Parts: sequence; structure tokens; C-alpha cells
Amino acid sequence: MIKIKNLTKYFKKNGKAAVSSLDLTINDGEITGFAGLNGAGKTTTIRMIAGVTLPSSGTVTVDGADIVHDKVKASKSIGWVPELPNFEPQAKSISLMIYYAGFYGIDYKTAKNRAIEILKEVNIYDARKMKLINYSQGMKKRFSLASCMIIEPQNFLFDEILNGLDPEGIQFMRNYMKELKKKNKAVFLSTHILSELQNLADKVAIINNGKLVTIIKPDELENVTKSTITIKIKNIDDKIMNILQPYGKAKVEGGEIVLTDIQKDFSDLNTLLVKNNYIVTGFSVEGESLEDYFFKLIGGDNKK
Amino acid sequence: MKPIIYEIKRTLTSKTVIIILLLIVLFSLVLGYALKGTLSSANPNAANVVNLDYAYSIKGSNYNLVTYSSNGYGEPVHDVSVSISYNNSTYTATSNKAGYANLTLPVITGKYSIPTINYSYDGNTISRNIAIYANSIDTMQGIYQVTEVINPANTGAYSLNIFYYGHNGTQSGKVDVYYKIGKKLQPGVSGGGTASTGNASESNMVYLTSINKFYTANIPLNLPSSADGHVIYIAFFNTNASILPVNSNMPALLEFSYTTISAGKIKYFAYEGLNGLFDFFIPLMAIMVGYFTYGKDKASGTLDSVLSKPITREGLFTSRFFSNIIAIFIAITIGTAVIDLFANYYLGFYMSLTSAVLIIATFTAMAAAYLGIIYILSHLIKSVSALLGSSIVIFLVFALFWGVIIDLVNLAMGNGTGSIAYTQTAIYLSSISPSSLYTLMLAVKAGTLSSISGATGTPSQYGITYLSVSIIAIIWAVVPYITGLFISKKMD
Repeated sequence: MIKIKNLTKYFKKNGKAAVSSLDLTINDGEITGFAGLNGAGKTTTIRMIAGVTLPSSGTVTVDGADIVHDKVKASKSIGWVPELPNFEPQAKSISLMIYYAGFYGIDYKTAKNRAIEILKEVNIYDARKMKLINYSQGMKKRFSLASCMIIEPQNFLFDEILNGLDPEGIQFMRNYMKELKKKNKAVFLSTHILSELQNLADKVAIINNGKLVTIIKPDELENVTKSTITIKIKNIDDKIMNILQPYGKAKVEGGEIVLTDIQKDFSDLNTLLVKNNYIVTGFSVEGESLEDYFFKLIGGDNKK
Repeated sequence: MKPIIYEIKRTLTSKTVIIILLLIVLFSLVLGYALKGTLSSANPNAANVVNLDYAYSIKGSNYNLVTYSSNGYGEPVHDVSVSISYNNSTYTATSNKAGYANLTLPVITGKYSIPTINYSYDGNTISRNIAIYANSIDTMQGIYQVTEVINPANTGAYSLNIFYYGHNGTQSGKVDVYYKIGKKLQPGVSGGGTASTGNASESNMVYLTSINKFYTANIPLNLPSSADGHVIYIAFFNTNASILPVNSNMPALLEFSYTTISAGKIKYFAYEGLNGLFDFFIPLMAIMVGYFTYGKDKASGTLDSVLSKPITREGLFTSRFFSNIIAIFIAITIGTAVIDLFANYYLGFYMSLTSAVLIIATFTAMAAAYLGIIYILSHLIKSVSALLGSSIVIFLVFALFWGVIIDLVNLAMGNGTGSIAYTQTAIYLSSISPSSLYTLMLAVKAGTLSSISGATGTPSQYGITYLSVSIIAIIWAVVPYITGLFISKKMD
């Protein structure tokens, strides 16, 4: 669990705060989304949590350890995958992982075996003889993840991790984050692509101009992302409700059927109605996406 | 594996360190070869150099011409073929084991001759003209013919090789040999030949030795070290304290340049060479290592991937700094060992353990200073290119042009070269560049200021002692590190 209290960062004296008085808790067993426009302060916040940037004020405690004053202990519980990972360019994956393992007190042989195992797991074992300078961005992200996995910490920080990944990589990362959640790990995922959070996050913290705008909690998130289906049918009868019931709550409003609280995949609904001899003249899906909600929150001026 | 082991290995196997080490080895090879050349030119293979002295006496209607062949050590050379063209005839003889060859030439009454005498040895023929006076006064008798030769027992020192042939072929009586030290040798000033006796006497010269009953003699010139690098005057006094003729038929002083090539001097040259070699390469190595393993990693964000691991900022700073220093220490030790091997191969000596420790410790302190400066800059400069540019400037100013800066400052202050003011300024300015550490240490070790200002006097007169230089070295090694450590803790 990561607790952030009143976290503030100024890069220049008397300048604008990159992050201002941020309070947030990242719970175990949850994926906490962190959304904001470019320059909103997401990366600065994550870097302060990771211990690579010093806060101007405020605290970050990682499983009870302060990241500034008890860094070694705090860092043992954190795995950080930055947006653009940078490694010693001339190093090779296994030797660098053995080096990293040294910080956790892992002996050479154990570290080497573990490195091989993890590199296979993140699917870059075949590139073990390549220097890291020759890795693609996606491979670097996988290596960055691998370097976190050497001890499998309790808390993971993923900064725009899905950027620059191929579809297979995105799928891998999604599944990996879901696995971490199952293992009761705390996952903090920052992104400016809100649709990703819609599918993954248990809650989403919205940041704008360095300030936390709101935290969309699980129940709110559900409501925010629910759709409404409006079906126009010429020959409405009582039986139609039996067909619609498994999909959600249906009610007739002025010659139209409005289906809310969608419970299952409705991609086959139109076909099903036609098969049952209903004359469907209109079928529309409406709903407020997280993205719409986000821009509503931060104000129209920020929408590009 | 301990991360510091990885970092030491990373530094040691970096291209920068390997290339600089190779350059040190290459340049030390050149240095050794050059020093050997210096030694060879100062002390040529004296066994191959043949000198010919001569004298003659009249016996009846003939001259008895005696030649004495000796090599550059003053040792007699046999089988030297001596021929003289005289009075339309050629007379020949060969030197015996004692180096003598005797020729009998007819006296031509009333005629003064300057015939050419040729002497050949080992396929080489040398010609010189000699004067034969056509009267009964044999001016080439009773003259001490003296040559400065290499001392065979100590090839870095000299001996006087003396040939004497008295009237009617008699040996020399007792001779007291005295010397006095003349001007310091400067470029363009050298001694050679004979000089006027002036007011020279036994009372204002220094007694060296006495010799008696000889045709040839070899006197090792065991002069005090203060004579080194000066013009030396030698006088032969008879038992009446009168100066005798030396190399001419008038009483004269023998004048020559006296510059010994001692083992210590060769070592000093070697250390000075080492100084120049390491003064250039060690700062370069430290700056490049600091830049590539810390500064560039920091500016490019590479260091963040390490900092996110369980290590503090100051821990990472210290770990990198000491791994760099250990790697550079190993490189300096390897470089010194290689240079020592070359020195032994070319010059025939190994440096003492004390010298090796001084060299390694001083240059390690110098490297720590440069490394600390680059680490500090790494926290103050955020751009990779700006950091590289600043590192180059640090190298140019402190390592490459500091000597020029010292000269310019002295020039601006109107301090004459070698003056006390010049020396003091040079010492103060040397103390504020890590590159001058070994120059100061070498001055203390050699007991001379020649490497700093060329002034006379001793380094201790200016406060330059082992203690003061060690304090300067420790300050340079520690202060940039502590400063950098403090900044690393407080700044991103």
C-alpha cells in the first residue's frame, strides 16, 4: 500500500508547482488509475513515489516506509516501470539484472537463475545477448518490468506503460496487471489514454495542472462507464420483455424501449429481436465514457 | 553479487579505461625508448671510440714518435694501425697491448712539418694532423695530454685519461691534481679545451688526487654533486706548486663540461616522463570515467533505473565514486607496473617501492579530485552535451593548460622566471590544480624546484614537504567527494 500525503514538487524556486498538495492512497489488491493530460504531473508524482525525484514537501510511505527517509526499505517494496525506460546502454539483460539483484542481497547464482526465468516470462530471453541499446522501446519496457520482478515487490508503478507497445505487448501488460491484482498487489497505472483505465482500473485518480481533481471510486466508475441502449420497434408486445430481461433493465418510453443497467454483451441483441419477428427501426447505444467524464471534470478549456 | 563489484568491472572494462591504459602502455614504451636514447647519446658505447695521443723525442738523426691509443673509457686499445705520411714516405706501426705504437722518422733539419697521421681500428680510419718541429726542442714532450673519458666502473660518471711522455721518454714525476667548479652549464654555454691559468693556485682550487711515475693514468672524477651541471677546471701542479702544461705546451687549465648521468638522474627523468604521461592521461581517464559512468547516466536518466532500487542517493553516489576510484587505482597500478617493466628493459632499473607507492597514491588522489569535480557538475548540469562540454573545459584548464596559466599569471605579475616571487606564485597556483600534485611530490622527492620553476633552492624552503603535499592531496581527494555527496543528497 502506498500512502501519499500533501505531496508537492517545485522544480524552480518560486515557480509553478508541478505537483501540488496531492493526497492519494493506492491500496493492495487494486489497480489505481492515474489520469491526466500531458504535463498534468503524473510522471513527476510517480517518480517521487519511486524515490527518483525528491519531493519539495509532503510524504510518500510505501508499506509504512518513507520513500525519502527510509528509502532502502521503501524501495524494496516498489517496482517502477517508467514511460521511457533508460538503462546502461552497453549492458546485457542478464548481467544488469544480476547487478540489480545485488541491491536486494540476492546472491549471484540465484540472481542469474531468476533473471533467466523472468526474461523467459516477459518474452525477451532470446534477446539476452543483445546490448540494451539495441532494444526497442517495447523490449525496454519488458526489461524494465523484468527488473521489477526480480523480487516481485508489493507495489507496482506503471507510468504510461502501454504507450509504444504492440497489441501483443498491450495484451501481455493488461493480463500481467490483472494477475498482480489477483495476487493482492497494489498497482498504480498512469495513462492519458482513458479507455485503458475503463477496462482495468478499480478507481481512477484524475490530476490536472499538478492538482488532484477527483478520485472516481469503483461504484462511480461503474456508473460513469455504463451505456444506455435505445431500441425503436414497430410491433412492441409483452413478450419482448422476456427477451430483453437478461440484458438489463428495460422500460417502454413513448414507443421506444430504453435498456439500462446493461448486464451482458449486447452485440447479438438486434439479431435476436429480428429473429423473433420484431420490426426494429432504430438501435442506438449511448453512454458517457470515462473520457467524456474526464473532460467534464477538468473543464472544457483543457479539451483539445 | 555486490553492486560495487559490477560497477568496478563496468568501469575497468569500459572502452575509455581500456583505450587510455593502452595509450599509457604505448607512451611508456616510447618514453622508455627515448630515455634509453638519451642515455646512449650521453654515454656512447665508449669501447668503440678510439683516441690517439702522441709525443716524440729526438734520438740521433731520427724522431721516435710514440702514439697511445685508448678507448672512450681510457683503456688501451691494441691492434690500432697507425700510419704517417712524412717526407714523401709512409711509416706504419701497430699498437701493442699497452696501446703504444712506435715509429721512427728521420729528422729533416730546419724543416717544420705538419704531417697527417691516420689511425685505423675495426674498419674505421681517423685522420689528424700533428706538428713536428724541426729543432732539438721537442715541444711535444713533457705535456700532459688529458682526455675526459667515461668511467668504466660507473658509466654515468667520468675519468681523466692522461698520457705523458717526458723528455727522452721518461715517466712523469709526482703530480697533484686540483679542480675548481666554474659556471653553471646553460644552453649555449659549455666548456671544452684549455683555459688560461689566471690566478689559479693550489690555495684556490680543490685537491683531488696525486699521481706519480706514469706514462698513462686514469683518474676517476669523484666530484661532489654540486659540480654536476657545471664547467669544471682541472690543474696539474708539480711539487713546486707550479701549474703544468695540459694539452698544450704552455701551463693551462683543462676545461670541460661536467654532467653526470647517474642512476638517480635517469630515474628522475623517468619519473618526470611518467609525470607528463600520467598528468595527461589520469585526469583524462578520471574525467571520462566520471562522465560516462555517473554524469551521463544521471543526465540521460539511466541512473534513475538504479536509484529506484533499494539504495539511497548518497549510497549510489558513494558506490559509483568508489568503484570508479578503485578501477582507476587498478589502472594506475597496471600502468605504473608496465612503465616499470619498460624502464627495467630499457634503462636497467626498477623503481623503489616508495616511489611506486608515491606515484600510485598521488595519481589516485589526483583522479579522485577530478572524479569528484565531474560528479559535482553532474548534479548541477542537467544536459548531457553541456556536461560533456564542461568536462572538456575542466580537462583543458586544469590538466592541459595549467602550466601556461601559471606562466601567464607570473608574467602579469612581472615575476621573472626562477625568481622567488615566480616560484611562490607557481607553488600557490600548483596547489589549486589537482594536476600539479605529482609535480609537487616529485619536487619533494628530488629535492629540487626544477619541475616547478627551475629556481635554485630546495622545495622545503617554500614549504613544499611530504607533509604539506600529502595534505594538499588529501584535501583534493576528499573535498570534491564530500561536496558532491552533500549535493547529491539535497538535489535531484
